[in-house]
Amino acid sequence: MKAAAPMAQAVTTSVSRIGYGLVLVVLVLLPFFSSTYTQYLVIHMMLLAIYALGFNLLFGYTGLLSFGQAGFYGIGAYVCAGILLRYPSVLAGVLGGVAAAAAAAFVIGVLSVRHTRIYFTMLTLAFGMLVYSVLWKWRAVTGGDDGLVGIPRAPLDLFGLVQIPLRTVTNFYFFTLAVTVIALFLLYRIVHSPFGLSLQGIRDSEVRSHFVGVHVRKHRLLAFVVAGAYAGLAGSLLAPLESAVTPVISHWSNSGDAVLVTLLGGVRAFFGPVIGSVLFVLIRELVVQITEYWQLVMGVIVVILVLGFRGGVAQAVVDAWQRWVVNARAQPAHQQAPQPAFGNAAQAAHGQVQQAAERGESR
Amino acid sequence: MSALLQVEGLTKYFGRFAAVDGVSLTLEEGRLTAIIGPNGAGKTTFINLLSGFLVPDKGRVVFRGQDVTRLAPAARVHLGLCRSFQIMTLFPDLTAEENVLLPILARRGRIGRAFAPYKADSEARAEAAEVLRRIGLLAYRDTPARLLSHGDQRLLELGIAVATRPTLCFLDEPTSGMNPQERRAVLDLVRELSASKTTTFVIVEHDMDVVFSLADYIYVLHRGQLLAGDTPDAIRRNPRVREVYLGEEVSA
Repeated sequence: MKAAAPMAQAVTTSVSRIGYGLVLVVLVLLPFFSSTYTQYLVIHMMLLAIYALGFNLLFGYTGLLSFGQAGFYGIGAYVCAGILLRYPSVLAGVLGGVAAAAAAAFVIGVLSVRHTRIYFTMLTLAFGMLVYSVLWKWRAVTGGDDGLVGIPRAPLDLFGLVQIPLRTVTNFYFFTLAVTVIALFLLYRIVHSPFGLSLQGIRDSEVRSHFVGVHVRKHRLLAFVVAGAYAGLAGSLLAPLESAVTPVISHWSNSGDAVLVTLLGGVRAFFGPVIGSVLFVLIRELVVQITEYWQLVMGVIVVILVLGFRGGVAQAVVDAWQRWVVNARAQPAHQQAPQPAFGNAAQAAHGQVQQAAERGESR
Repeated sequence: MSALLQVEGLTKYFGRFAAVDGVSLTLEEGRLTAIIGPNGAGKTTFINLLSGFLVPDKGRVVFRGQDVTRLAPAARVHLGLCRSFQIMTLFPDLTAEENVLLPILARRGRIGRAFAPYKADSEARAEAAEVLRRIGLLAYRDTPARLLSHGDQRLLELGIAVATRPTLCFLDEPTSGMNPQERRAVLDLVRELSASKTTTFVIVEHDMDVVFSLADYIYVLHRGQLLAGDTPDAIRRNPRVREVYLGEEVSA
């Protein structure tokens, strides 16, 4: 087993690299053989993926269930809209939206991360709804229930050198794709860094984290700010895409979508929320054509997943793949596995295979 | 020998009950000390106060000349004051290697780095491998802690505490729930680490065999108060200690 585990890991790693490459190629080529409607849907998948990935840094990695992410989504969208209505530069709008969401997450985080479990969840829910009511009531600035309309898809102005117009859906698609790839790459680096490890440590045991010298509250706050910034990024891309924003986007049910998408895709897998986003948008679009009660269908699917596949779709795929690799590669070596001094050999060996798959594919 | 930690009049109430009641004592550098006492004597509460897990109602804790009475646990760890837990407190979903990497990265001031992969930190990983080798778990470096046997988890618990490279380390019943073979592995390890003189261990134990075979010095707590503090031989002969233990275990 000892010899087989790294081999299985190498196979899994190279397969997943090829997989990521293929997905990227398909995404880059997509506009050349698809309708603008498809591109529009994929843009929505990407926004949802950014939003849910940030949420999962809190939920899956740090062990904090936030039910207020829609608040930061709304702040990002409204600030970006406000900037674009005055100053037509998409970069300024997006950066402004992200900065505002991160700043709000810092303030709300300072007040929230001293609590955990249901208390944290309820606090974030309350703060999220606070944002919602401000957007609803502060008519002079936010437009109240009308929201802000006529937001231009302003061009991408790169340091005054090049101006790339984003008015067409296809151009905006490429812009969103580039932003998504950068956001995914940064978050991937974060979860595999010492800081990312410390977050998983806090999730596993807060008490022990204190006693290995981790400043638990500070790290929780940082994770909260990153998650808020990612929600703000998704929101600030929505504003120019839809050319209008309304208070509904910061309603708590939108916070619930981040939870659903993550459960659907897989909590413990880095790309789980991405898979969840793709499925979520697909299911919604397909079911809406048949019945207006698409949320009912989504609810049933999530119930089945939570009852039957705790790790979401990602884990189910990884498990299937693992079984296949283990059967093909590791079975002969398993018989020769040496007995360890003490400890459970079978469990440990299983752990290594599990490990190989987890490291390579799912984190 | 010099005083590593001084405790003055330490008191902790739970409601009206004084779990620790005016305890004053000194822990000397390099002297393997045991804290014993019957059930409910306040041993674990006492350790919780010294490690920062609880804040005392009265009294002072001075570590290497610095008042740490109200310092947060993580700050104490950075000063070189660490502990292990009686009830398993590992990172169950992290691998054995990651379990010891966390304290190593924190001590090296790298735990806040957010963009370089920790797997590429060869210095820290080499140190983690050294810790795992010492506790005999190098073969399980990639195994999640929850899949280790109970004995191996206790060894890992010790490994995490040691990986902080503490000057003073409290071990709260490190052998509880272990079979004799596993128990010997842990005690040999404590003896070996203690002999290297970089860490002073203070062990809280229930098992008198463990205490008398290991400790250079013993403090006895009884009903939250310090009953005696002396060498193992003197403690064995101490009539008040014998009275508390009904003569059975201590004379054995």
